[in-house]
Amino acid sequence: MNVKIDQETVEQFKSGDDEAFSRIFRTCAPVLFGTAIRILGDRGLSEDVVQEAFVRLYRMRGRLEPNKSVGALLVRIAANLAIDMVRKRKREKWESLEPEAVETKPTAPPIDAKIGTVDAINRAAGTLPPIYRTVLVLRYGHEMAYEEIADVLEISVSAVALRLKRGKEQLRAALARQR
Amino acid sequence: MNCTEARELFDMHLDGALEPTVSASVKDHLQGCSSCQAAYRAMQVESQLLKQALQAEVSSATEIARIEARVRKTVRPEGHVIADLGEWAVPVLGTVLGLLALVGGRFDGAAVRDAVCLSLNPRGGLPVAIPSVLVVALVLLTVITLQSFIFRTGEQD
Repeated sequence: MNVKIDQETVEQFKSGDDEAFSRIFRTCAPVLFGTAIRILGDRGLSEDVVQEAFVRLYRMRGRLEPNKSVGALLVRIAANLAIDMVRKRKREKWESLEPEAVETKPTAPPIDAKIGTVDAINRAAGTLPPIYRTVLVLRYGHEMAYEEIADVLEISVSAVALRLKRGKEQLRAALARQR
Repeated sequence: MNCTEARELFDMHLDGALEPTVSASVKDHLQGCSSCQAAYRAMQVESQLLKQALQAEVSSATEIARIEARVRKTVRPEGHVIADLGEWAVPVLGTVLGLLALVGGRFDGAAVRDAVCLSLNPRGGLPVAIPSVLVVALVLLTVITLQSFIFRTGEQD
């Protein structure tokens, strides 16, 4: 998902250029909204997440590290905000879902083009528990590396791998049920 | 590496998350196993479908415009340098300057103690003469602080 902002725009934003901030917003906001809604499943809360992510970016503009991706930073902020909301809302015990606590489920065949339309996948993803939705969105929505996902979610790389595996298994099963 | 072991690693191999030596073993197995090649291709297709679906835009222009308006309302317009000092910097600075003003510009501990004692005892009258420069600074900072807080409260409404 393209959230790349050119360095010139970032420098202009850091020096207080309002138009540069607008350009960053227009490029990244739809992506952040997609991330938030896929994690939260709620449009109103997703708007709050995107708003807060940009407000935080704005307030830290003077402290942005050079050569660090602003787009990636925004994704991290938004993902963390959405995850925090899920935690608060559902009071889930994310830690209890570490590898050893997850039950093995039967493996469904990989998703193919017949059942794996954009709408069907998004619908099915919405039915998954948030911990699985989140890793799937970060991995496939943002093409984040396992280490990056582990960093954002504050879990181990092996936990990321396992959640992705379980998430895909559940997604396949959900899609099969939609048939 | 047998088929079961290789297939267990397909996800991570596809995602480039395996150690190079393990990844090489998976590749070796794939080269010599047609059934695993078919299974791996199916997972590649799945991976592409997931990317397409989870990267698809789901927001409307109205929603994005509404969020932008809310962001604009919340963040400070340029020129409000005071906001960048942090929420507590100005009040703390004002308090410190105020204390310094109360002790009449003397900075030793005894002066502070005397000033506090005198302030607690109204019959003692005003502690000491307050240097006009510090008074002006204190007043200015108070005004700026109040303006800053009022402005922020207004934005959050």
